[in-house]
Amino acid sequence: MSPKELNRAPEQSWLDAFDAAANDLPGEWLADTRRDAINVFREKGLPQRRLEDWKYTDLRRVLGSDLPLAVIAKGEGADPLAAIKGPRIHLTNGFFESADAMPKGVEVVSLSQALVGQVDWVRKALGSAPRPEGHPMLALNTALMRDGAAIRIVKGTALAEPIVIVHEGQAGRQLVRNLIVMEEGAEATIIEAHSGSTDAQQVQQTSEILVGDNAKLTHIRLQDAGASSVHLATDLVGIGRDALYDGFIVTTGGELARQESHIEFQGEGAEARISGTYLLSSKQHADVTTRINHAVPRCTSREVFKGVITDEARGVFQGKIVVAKDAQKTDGHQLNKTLLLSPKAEIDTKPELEIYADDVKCSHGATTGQINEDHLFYLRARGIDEATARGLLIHSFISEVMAEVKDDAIRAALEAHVTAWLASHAGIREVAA
Amino acid sequence: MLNINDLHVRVDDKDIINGLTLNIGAGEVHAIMGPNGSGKSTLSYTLAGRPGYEVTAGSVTYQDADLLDLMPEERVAKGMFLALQYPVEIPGVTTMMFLRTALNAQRGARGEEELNAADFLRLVRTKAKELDISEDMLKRPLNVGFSGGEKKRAEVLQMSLFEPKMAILDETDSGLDIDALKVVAQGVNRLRAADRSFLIITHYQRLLDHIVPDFVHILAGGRIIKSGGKELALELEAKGYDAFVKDAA
Repeated sequence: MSPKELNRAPEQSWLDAFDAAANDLPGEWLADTRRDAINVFREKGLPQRRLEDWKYTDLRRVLGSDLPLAVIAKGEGADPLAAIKGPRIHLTNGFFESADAMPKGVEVVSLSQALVGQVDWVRKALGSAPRPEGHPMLALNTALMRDGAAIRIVKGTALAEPIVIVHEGQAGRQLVRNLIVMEEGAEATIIEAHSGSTDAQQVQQTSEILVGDNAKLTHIRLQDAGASSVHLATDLVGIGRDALYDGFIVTTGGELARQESHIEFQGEGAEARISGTYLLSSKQHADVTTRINHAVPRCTSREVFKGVITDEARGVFQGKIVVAKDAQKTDGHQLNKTLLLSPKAEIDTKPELEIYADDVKCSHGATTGQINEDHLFYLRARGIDEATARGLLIHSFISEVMAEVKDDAIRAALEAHVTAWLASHAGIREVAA
Repeated sequence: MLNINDLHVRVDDKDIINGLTLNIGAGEVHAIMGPNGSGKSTLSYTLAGRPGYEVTAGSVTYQDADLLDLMPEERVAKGMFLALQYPVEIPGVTTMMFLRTALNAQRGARGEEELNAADFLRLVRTKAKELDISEDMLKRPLNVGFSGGEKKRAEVLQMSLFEPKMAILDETDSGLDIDALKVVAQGVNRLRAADRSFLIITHYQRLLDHIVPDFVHILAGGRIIKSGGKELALELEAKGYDAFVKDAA
C-alpha cells in the first residue's frame, strides 16, 4: 500500500465510487436525492465505535478497503431454501436477474427498470418508509442504489404461496434496494435467502417495507452469506392500522454481519413480531439491532432472539423499544438469550426501553449462559451419550424461537438449516425427530 | 448385583459419604432412610456417575465391573437406572422423542437393534397406560408443565421402558399425594423380579408401606449406622432419627 493510500480516509473509496458512477446511476429524478444522501455520508463518515449505536460493530475498519463495485453476473442457481415452494426472484451480485411468473395481484419489477421507467407505485413508495435520521449506511445505499426487487401486493390479495427472493453474492460491493408494498388488506409471505461465494464481498441491502392498513406480511430472512463477506441488511418497516408485520431472521453467514430492523407503527391496533436466531462460529461477528417505535397507541410488539455462539465468534444484540408520549396501551416484549459453547465466544447484549407514555405494558429480558450441567447429566443418566445430549439441549434451546415461525413447511426448512449448522459447526450429532 | 465397599465421597471439598458399605443381591429391594444432609442424594448421584462427586476411597462393583470406571451413559447401558428427585424440564424435546432417543441409545450401546417408530410407539403406549400417563403428556416437552406427580410417573415410565437391572429411586415419594404415591408404587412393584434389584432412598417411611423392602438401612453422617428388615422402618418412624443417631455415636 502506498503512503498516499495509507493516509486516505476509509470513506474516500466510497466517495470516489459515487463520483465515478454518478452519471450512470439509474433515474434522473433521483439525482438530487442521491447528492443529498452522499453529502450525509460525507459528513457522518463510516460508522465507528465511538458512536453509541455502533459501539460493538466497527464498520470503518472493514468497509474502507478498495473492493470494486459489483458487476452484473449470472447466478449459479443457488437456492438454500429450495424445499420451500413458491415463485422465485433471483438477485445476483445485487442485480435483478430474473423472476418467475407471479400470481394475480402481485407485481414484481427490477428496481433499475422502475427507476428509469414510469412505474408510479415505485416512485410513490420509494423513500417513504420510516427511517432513522442521518444514518450513514442508509445514506450511502440511497446515493448508490442501482437495483433490487420491487414487489407490490395489490389491495386485498392473499397469496397462497410465499414469494422467495434468492440473493446470490459472487464478489465486490453490492448495494441492493428492495421495496415491498403491501396494499390495504393484502396478505403475503416473502422469504429472502442470501448465500454467496467465499470471495471477498460487501453486501449493503436496504429494504423499504410498507405494510398497509389491515395487511399482513410474514417476512423471513435466511442470511447465509459467504464466509469472507460483510453483510449489512437494513429493513425499514412502516405498519398501518390493524396490520401485522411478522419478521424472522436466521443468521449463519458472513464474516461480519449486521441486521438492522427499524419498525414504526403508523396506525393503531397493529402488531409487529421480529424474532430470529444467530448461529456463529470461527471468528464471525454478527450484530442484530432492532428499533421498534411505538408512535401511536394500542400496538403490540414481540421480539425473541436466541443465539448459539462457539469458537471465537461474537454476537451483538441491541434491541430498543421506544414508546411515544401518546402511545397509550402499548404492549411491548423483548427477549434475548444466548448460549455460549466455548470460553472465547462472546455476546454483547443491550436491551433498551424508552417509554414516554404512562399506560403501557413493556418488558425485556436477556440471559447468557452455557449448557446447563443438570440437564446434561439428566440426559446422560438416561443413557444418552454426551455429544447427543448436548445436541438435544441446543435443539431444545433453539426450538423456543423456531416456534415463532408459524408455517410448518417454512419452519421445517429453517430447522433443517439450523440442524445442519449444528452438525458441522458445533460437533452436534443430528437428532432423530 | 451391587457391592459398595467402604465408599468415601467428597463434594465441593466437603466429605459427605464416609465409609459406606452396602451389598445388594439380585432381586432384593433395599431401602436407605436418613435425615436431611445424611448423604442420601450424594450416594445416588455417585452411583449414577454425576460429575463433581469425587470418590476419595473405597470401591463400587456392579455386575463384576468397576462401576466408578464407567461414564454415566455406560452405567445406564449396563442396566443401572436412577429415578431423580427433581427431574429436569427440557423444552422443545417431546417426551416421546426423548424416550425413543434414550432407549435406542441404550440398545445401541449394548449392540442391540434400535426399535423402529411403530414398535416403539406400541411399547410406550402399553407402558404409559399402566401408569395412567396420557398420550397428550407424551407429546408435551419433557417434564415441562408436568405436576410433581406427573414428573414422578414419567420417571417410573422411563424405568419400565428401560427395564434396568439395578434401579435407584431417589426420594421418589417427595411431593406426591397419596394417590400419586400408590400409582408410582404399583409401577415399581410391577417391575420387581428375581433378576432386578432396587435401592429406595427416602426420608419417610410411608413409601415403604407400598413398596415393601427386604432390607432397611439407616444412613447418618455419610455411613450406614444400622441395618435390619422391613420392621426397622416402622421402628424408625416411631422413635425418630435422633434415637438411632445417638445410639450409634
